[in-house]
Formats: sequence, C-alpha cells, structure tokens
Amino acid sequence: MIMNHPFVRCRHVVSRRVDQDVFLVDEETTAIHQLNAVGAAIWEMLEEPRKLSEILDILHTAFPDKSKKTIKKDVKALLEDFLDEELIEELDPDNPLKGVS
Amino acid sequence: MTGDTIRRVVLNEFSTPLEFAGCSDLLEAFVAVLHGWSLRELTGETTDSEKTIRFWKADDVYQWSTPWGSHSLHRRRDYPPRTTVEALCDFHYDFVGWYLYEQPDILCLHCAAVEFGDGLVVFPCVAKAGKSTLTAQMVSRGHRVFSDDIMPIEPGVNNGVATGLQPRLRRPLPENFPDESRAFVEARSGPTNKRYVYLNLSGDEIAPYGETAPVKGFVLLERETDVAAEIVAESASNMLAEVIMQNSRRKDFPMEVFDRTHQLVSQADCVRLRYSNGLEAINLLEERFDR
Repeated sequence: MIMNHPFVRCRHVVSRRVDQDVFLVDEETTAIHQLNAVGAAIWEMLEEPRKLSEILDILHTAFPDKSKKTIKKDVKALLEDFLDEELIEELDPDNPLKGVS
Repeated sequence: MTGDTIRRVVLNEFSTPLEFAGCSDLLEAFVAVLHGWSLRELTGETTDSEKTIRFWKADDVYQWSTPWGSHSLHRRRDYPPRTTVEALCDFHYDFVGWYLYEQPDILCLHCAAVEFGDGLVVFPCVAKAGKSTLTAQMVSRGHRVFSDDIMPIEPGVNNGVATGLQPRLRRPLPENFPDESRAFVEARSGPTNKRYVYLNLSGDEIAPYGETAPVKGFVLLERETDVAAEIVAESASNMLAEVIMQNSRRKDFPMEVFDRTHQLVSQADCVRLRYSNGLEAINLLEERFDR
C-alpha cells in the first residue's frame, strides 16, 4: 500500500448518516457497511481528496491526548479496509482520473 | 408425471397461474393456510407453462417448478416431500419468491408483525428468538397477527400489508410454553407434520390478505434463560442494520431498500426486548405499544 497519494471516495459508493453512524451503500457490489464514529469521521473527511498525512494532522489536533502512533496505526488500518472493500481509491496525481493500484 | 386430474387456478390478482397435476390435496393445503386469498379456477383455459407454477408428483414425491427459477425441483433432495404437509412446508419459502416475482418493486420485511392499538409492532427475524411462539401467545391475548414470516410494505406510505399466511410453529413447542398457550395452539392446529404446525386462526385473529396498518414499532427479540423481561431503547441505526441485512432485495436495489427501510425505521419506536417468559414479555409490549 503506497499511502502517499490523496484518497478519494469511489463514485459507486453512496453514504447515508443515521444517528451517529454512517452507512455506506456500494451500488456495484450491493454491500452495505455500517461505520463506527471514527470510521464515519474519516469518511466525512474524504468528501474531498486527502492524504494520510492530512487526515492524521486533523486527528492529532482533535485528540491531542491520544498517542500519534496509535492514531496512525488505527487510521492506516481503516484506510486499508476501505481500499480492500473498494470504497475509496488512491488518486494518481499524474493522472487524477485514474486511481493508483 | 403421474395423476390424471389437472387443476389450474389463479390466486388473488396474481398474474402467475398455478397448476396442480394429480395433487389437488396440495392446493387444498394452500387454501387452508392462506387467509383471505381469493381463488379462481381456470377451466378450459390454457396457460403458458413457462409462466406457471407447476406442481406434480413423481415416484410419490411432490415436485414443482417456478418461473422465477430459484430452483426447479423440491428443495430438500435428502428429505424429499412425500406428504402434503411436507410439500406445503417446503414450498413455504417459495411464497416469498412468489410474492416478489409478482410485485418486484415492493419492499418486503422478513419479520413477524402484530397489531397493538392503532398500529403494527414489527419483530425482525432473529434466529431462535422465539418469534413465532411469541406471536401465537400475542394472538391468544387478543392481538391480530399481520405476518409471521414476511410483510410487504405499502409503496409510498409506512403501512404493512397482511399476507394472510397462517403462522407456522416448530414442533415440539417449547417446554416452558404455558398450558393456556399450548391449549390455544392445539385448538387452532391446521396442517401439521412432525416438525411444524400451521395455525388455523380465524378472522379476528389474523388480518386477511391485503389489509394494511401503519407500522409504529420495531422490536428486536432476545430470548434468554431465566431473565426478567426488559425493554430497552435501541438506536435507529442498529435496528436499520438488523432489518436491512435480512432483506434479500438489497442485492437487487441496494439504495432503494436502504432509503425505504430507513424511512420506515426512523418513524417508529425502536426497542430491544430481552425475555424468558412470553407472557411477561407481552405485558411489557402492551404497556409500551397498546394505545
């Protein structure tokens, strides 16, 4: 996993907020995912393309008492899950119309 | 194919005719468990066999084919249906496929639904939570059942639609099933075999096919041993997840199913009910919903 490029939501994934949770509906695979509060926060950050470093900066500011190492580990794991489920993709800056695989 | 009597019928306003070749007994069993369904015999009319639900017997085994193609023969090859009730029980699951084939755009919930006061309380299907036995106990307390298995939702409004399909209980009944509830079930036993008993509820105990009522509550059942019955609030998001994951149509229309179910759940009172004793559980349900 490269994780140096911006991440962006896949076009075939539609999100809906219900109470504190966010549901992702994948219109290609028809899978429905229920995100917890952290997953929902990161998903909402990805409304516009963001790099891992930007996401970490936002979370370090929001949770100054939490270990940076722990936050990085949790966020990387979550992004890897999102990538595995094809909910997000990494943008190739040289070719923004095509993701990096 | 054996048997020399062929009966062709249409049920309700459905477009798919049914053909029973040498097995009218199965048609009679269907009629016994479908409350409020209309039946019209097709006499002298031919039907397109590709668009017909066909039943026949071969080697003393009931068989069928359906136009929606979920399967072409009976379901359990290791335990083929040799009696009328076994065939009825096997076809039970195809009622859902049939309904969705006839009404492809409608949302169907996998649930029981019972009338409390001015609306329906929906019990999403949860394995081994006692949904059907609790439904029978609720009926014995004077509540009408709208569904014991699937319930369509009326398009555009949050109303459940009664299927008229009689509740089906597993046999034997639970050991702690109260005597009065057991007597209620025994007095209303319809088609029965070793594993199941269909109830034969009367008009004031089960809503007829097509009747509608607003959905006002969702209850997730948790049957445990030796606990006092308790109702706790459940979040709309958890209820939504439970209900959607059981909806087979989400694979065909994921966004439509999600948004329609969300609308339904968000306007209802969502709770979780832990219980061991059915009558205690019903007391709590009546306190919460019977108004």
